[in-house]
Order: sequence, then structure tokens, then C-alpha cells
Amino acid sequence: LQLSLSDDQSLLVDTCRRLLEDHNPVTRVRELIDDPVGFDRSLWARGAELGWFSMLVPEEYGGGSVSGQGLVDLSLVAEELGRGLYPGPFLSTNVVAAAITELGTDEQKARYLPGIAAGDIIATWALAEPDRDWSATPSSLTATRSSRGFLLNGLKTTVQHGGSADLILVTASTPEGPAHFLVEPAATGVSVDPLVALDLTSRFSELRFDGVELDGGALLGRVGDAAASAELLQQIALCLQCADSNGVTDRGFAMTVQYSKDRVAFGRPIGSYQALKHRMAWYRVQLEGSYAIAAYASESVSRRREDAGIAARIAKAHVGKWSSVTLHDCVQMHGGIGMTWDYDLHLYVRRVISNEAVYGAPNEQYRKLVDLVEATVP
Amino acid sequence: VSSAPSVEEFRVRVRDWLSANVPLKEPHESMLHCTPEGVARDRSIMRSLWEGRVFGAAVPEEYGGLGLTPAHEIAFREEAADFRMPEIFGNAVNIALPLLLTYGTEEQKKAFVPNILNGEHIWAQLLSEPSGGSDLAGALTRAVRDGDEWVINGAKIWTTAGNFCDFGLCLARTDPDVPKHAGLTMLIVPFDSPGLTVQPLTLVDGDVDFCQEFFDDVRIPGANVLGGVNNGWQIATTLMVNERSAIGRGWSLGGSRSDGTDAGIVLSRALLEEARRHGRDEDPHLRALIGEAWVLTTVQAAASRRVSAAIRSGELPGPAAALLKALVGYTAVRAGEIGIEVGGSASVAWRSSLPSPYGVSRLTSQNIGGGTTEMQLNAVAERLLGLPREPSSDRTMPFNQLRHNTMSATPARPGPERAG
Repeated sequence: LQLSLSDDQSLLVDTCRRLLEDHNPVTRVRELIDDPVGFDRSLWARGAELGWFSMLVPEEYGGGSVSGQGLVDLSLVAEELGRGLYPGPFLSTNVVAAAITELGTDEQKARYLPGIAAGDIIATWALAEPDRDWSATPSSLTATRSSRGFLLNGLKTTVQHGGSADLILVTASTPEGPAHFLVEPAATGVSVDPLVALDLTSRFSELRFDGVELDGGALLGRVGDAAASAELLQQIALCLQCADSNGVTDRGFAMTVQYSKDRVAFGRPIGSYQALKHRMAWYRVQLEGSYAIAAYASESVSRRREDAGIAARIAKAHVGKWSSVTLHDCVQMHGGIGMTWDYDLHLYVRRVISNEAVYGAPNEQYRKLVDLVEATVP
Repeated sequence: VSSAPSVEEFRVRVRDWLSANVPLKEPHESMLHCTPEGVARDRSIMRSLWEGRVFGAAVPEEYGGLGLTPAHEIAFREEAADFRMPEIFGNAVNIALPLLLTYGTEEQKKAFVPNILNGEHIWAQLLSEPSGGSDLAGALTRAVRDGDEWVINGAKIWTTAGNFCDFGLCLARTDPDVPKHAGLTMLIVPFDSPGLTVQPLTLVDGDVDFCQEFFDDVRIPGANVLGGVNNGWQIATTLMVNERSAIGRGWSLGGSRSDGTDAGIVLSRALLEEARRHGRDEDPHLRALIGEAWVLTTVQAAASRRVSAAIRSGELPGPAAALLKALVGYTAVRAGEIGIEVGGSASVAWRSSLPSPYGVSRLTSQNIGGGTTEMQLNAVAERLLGLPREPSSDRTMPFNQLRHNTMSATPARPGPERAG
């Protein structure tokens, strides 16, 4: 729960929460589990009306945010989407919007940004590779110059909603360094292989690029310059992911606290035993830390502060670790019912475990922090 | 009449004044210096902060403060981060001062608050007893009214720098015939009262920061009641909220550079350099541990800012301060574990010329002082999460019918046995 919100921000949060309660109840989330697309386009369009995809887009292309700090406002939305187990590719679409805003030519911006903001274009970022995981400097997916422009070859994995995206941001390696490309999935040579996802509210795919020919207009930014912008995109992704995990954790934890008040054993509510209440209090402590550091990171990345890179990694490491630890133990505190398919808690646990791994687990973030600090002059 | 300075004007003045008048902290300098020289130095720094009109920003002018705002006070704390602060006044400033301003009579405020700010009076909390610390409301120390005076008998313990204190806030039982929370009174006790004996305690790390006190027919003026007779539990509750918040932000009279929201994250390279000295800075496991230590301290600072602000604005209730106290305990212990792993053998055996290494911090625990972590978790569970208390009759039964300790948890006092 974010504190010290303006009236406009509070209204945004309340409206998102109500929209999800009305159109994305857990019953609907469960209906979508076996659906290959996994989310409703109608709710996507309603979300677009609330600004879900326009906050990182400049005003002249149909964007804008309530506070002027787009990522701060968008993180408030992300937290509500987490709390409500919203299943669509919100994070990846916004990351691509930020990429085009940051790097795009006027023509690219005009071609894609209004459509993204309006909810007509769903976008995703193909970053991870089987042998490079979440490195921002990919190696196995290559772009080589061709007569028309560029030729893409290679494999990307864990691409969020790769099967339903209208636009794919591909970060590739070139002989001159990394580069970003905007690829439309209808292009010849692009094939999509859906993966089985631990998180039942997510869809991930492998994307194979077999000699995909792109014209020069597909290049986003300059060849060789993509490492710095990929870093910014990762920071944005981490902030949105942390906010999502916080919302998920808050909801799953609240379910558990309530259950411990209602469930009676040995003549009294199980939540009165210190063996359980101390654990719940402890997770409440860590959740407070999660809210504090996630909010700090969003503010820092939004304002492009010097500490943005470390702030986002610190948030990711803390939130990633404690969201999973908390919700996993929430299952334990429930006892047997927590292990059943029909009880909703596992939907929350799955989502935070998935978030913990995507973009790099806490231990990777710890080491990345040392890399970042060593790279600065003492 | 000059108008009040803006926060930024004040900040600049504080910065310049501190640079000209107060020494910088030395590396590895411990917070408290419980020696006669250390205390004398703190008194003189405190006095000079007051004379320089930089301290007590949010205290009203009629009680010796500057009559400015909490934002001015935060600016002071940030600017003071690198300077030697008179930390011996920690309990006076963090604990006694806000309680006096909230609950004190006009006479008490005028008598005591200026003497804190000008460095005259060092204060102590007299709450825990040898017979119990967590069960604070079970205090056995008795205060009986005798004419114009209170007569106090009993014992208190874990008093920071008790051997250098001038005044203490003493929680005493004034009515044993009612349930325990309803029969307590907070009394202002001068440490030079006849019958009050102070005995320093040595802790496992060799520090002598704490004392215990024995009260033998200690007589204090009847007017030295803070916040009303038999209202002591309310005062103690406020005290603990203030204490948890102060511990959560580091306890120091100065702050840290990260107290402000826009100061940016600063990560100390100390552990990284320690690993390099041992030739282990490329070890991926150690690198992950160093990163984890940074995560701990940064999250602690961010949580402290968030919770403190939320308590001030009313978005979180006072007991939320327990969140910070619990987090500090975890952070300190985990940081100690990481330190000892990075330091390796140098953590447990070192040249006498070097400062105490990380191993020493593993000996002590931040999970006890200022209220055990278990009590903080109870506060979070019951006051924030609304979970039920463990069933017990101690809240409803008259205190004199309750079972309580008869054996002291600390070494017996020296000298002849007490009569009675």
C-alpha cells in the first residue's frame, strides 16, 4: 500500500481496484487458466482508458500520467494488478512503450505509441536467451546487415505473452555491439513456441528467428548503443515487477492473516499462538521494507537519479526474496487446505515465485550490485 | 523581529556552524563514550549546539528551543550526520524531551526541557527491572505517598549510562490492588537522591554502557509525577513508540545522509575492501553476501523513512514503530553474520592496533535492548494485524494476586543483604 498519495493517485488506485474486482475476479482468473491467450482484450481496452499503457508515453502520442512521474503512477497501477492477479502483458507492453519513447524516430513513435496507449497494440520484449538468461548484452541472437536492412537469427526465451504480442522488441547482438529491433510477429521466419508457465496468470514463449529480414526502419536506436537503453528498460521492468509482487504478496498475506483469525484449533484461533503470529508479524515487517524500497526505486528510476540502477536491484533483491518466502510460509500456516488446487492461495504463490526468477534471482542482483559499485569511482 | 528561516536557510546555517564548531566523527568511533572524559565532552558539545542555536529546532522557544518545525529538525539531523553528536543525551532528547512536552505540567516543562537542551541534564529511562523487562507492566518497584513526597523502593536495570545521569523517568507501582496496567505511575527521579545506588554492568563485549539501580527509601517531591498518578502505562506506551522510532532511525542525535528522500543511496565499500584485503573479492559467494549487506542497510533506511513519515502523518498508528525495531534487529544480526564471513579468520583474531572487527558484533544482539524482537512482533501482530493475544489473566486480575518473579535475573548486588 503506497502512502502519501495525491488525490488523483488515490483515485487512480481505487478505480483500478474496482475495475479488477468487477471484471477480473478469481473465478475469471481460473477460467482463463486453460485459455492459450490467457487474458481478455475487453478488459485490456478498459485498462487502456484508465491509462495502463499511456503513462510512459509522451502527451503528443496520446500519453500522460496523473503526477507527471509516469513510472511512479504506473507502479501504483502495477501493485493493483498484482493484488487482483491481472493476467495480461502489462509489464512488457509498458517496457516497449518506454523503449520507443526513449529511442524511437518520430516515424516509429507515430506508428506505434498511439496504438499502445489506446490499447490496440500489445507489445513484448524478447531479452532472455537460453544461455545468457537476463543479460542485457545478448550473444546468441544475432543481427547482421543485409541488402534490405538486417537479418535476425537465433532464439529468445521466457518472452512474456510472445504468442499474443502485436509487436516484439528484440535485443540482438551485432558485430558493432547490441541493438534493438522492432519486429512484427507476422514477419517471415518468426515462430512462436508456447512454454508451460509455473505462474498460471502468465504466458511465456520461446521465439525463434530464422533469417528474419528487417528493413532499416525496424532498428530502434543506434546499432551498438543498446546496452545503456537495455539497462534503463530493465530498471523500469524491475520497478513494475516489484510493485506487482508487493500487491500479490499483500493480498495472499491478508488472506492468511484472516484465515488465522477464523480457524480454531485447541480451543482458540490459530492466529493467537505466537508460533504463528510472530511469523506473520515478521512478514509484515518485511512487506513494509518491500513497499518502502519499491517506492524509492520507482521514484529514483522515474527521475533518472544516479542511484536508479542500484535502487532497482536492491528493490528486486529484497522484494524477490521476501515475497516468495512470505507466501510460501503462508501455505504452511494454512495447513492442508493451502496445498489444494481449489484454494486460491497457490495462484499468488506461483506469481511471486515466477517474478522472483524473471529478470534474475536475488543472488544475481546481489552480485550485480557489487559489479555496479565497482564500476563507479570510489 | 526577524522572520523564521526557511528549511534550506536553516540547513545552510547548520552546515556552516557545525563545520566551524563541532569535530567530525572518527572512523569506527563508538556511539557512546561512557567515561568521565567522554561525558564531559558530550556535555560541552551539547551546550555549544544550544548556544549556536542549531539544536532543538522543533522545541517551542519558551522551553529553550528554536520554535521551528520538524522539517528543520530533520535538516539538522542530516547535516549533523558526519559530526560527533553528544549521544550521551540520547535518552534525554529521544525519550524524556518529547514526553515532557506532551505530558509535563508547565512547571515541569520550564524546569526540565531547557536543561536538556543546554547540556545540563542527562536523562535515563528507569523501566526494566531485574525481575522482568518484557513484562514491563509487571514492574515491582513500589512508590508510596508520604505527605508531600513519594517514597520509592525496588530496583531498575538496563539504564544507559546510569552512572552519569542526572534524572530518570521511573515507572513505579503506586496501586497494587488493581490490575497491573492500572496501578503504575511515571515519576521524575533525581539521580542524586539519597538511597539511590547505581551499579555499572559489564556486557559480553566488555562495554560498560548499562547500569542497574537500587532504590532504598528514595524520597522525591510529590510534584514529580509525569502525566498523572496511576496513568503511568499510557506514558510508558508513548515512550516505547518514541523509542522504537528513534532506534529505527539509528538513535543518534544526528541522522544519516539517507534520512532525506533525495539524498541518494550511498553504499559503503568497507566490506568490499575487507574482502580485497583477504584476496577474496572475486569469490562469487562473498560478492553475493556483500550485495546482500547493502540490500539490508538500504531497505532498513527506506523503511525507516517511510514508517516514520507515516506515523507523523497518521497513515500508520504509533505501534508501527515496532516494525522498524524488529527490522533493525534482523539487519544487525544478518550484517554481523556477513561481516564475519567476509572477514574470515581476521574476524576472530586480530592485532591489538586494529579496531574491533566484525566478530565482536556477532557477540551482542540488537534483538534485546529497547524491547526484545519478540515484543516487537507481538506489537505488530496484535496492533497492526489485529491478531488475538495469547490468553492470560494478567490484564484483569489485581496485581497483588498475580504470580511474579521472586528471583533476580542478574547478579546479586554487592554488599550486605538488604533488610526486609
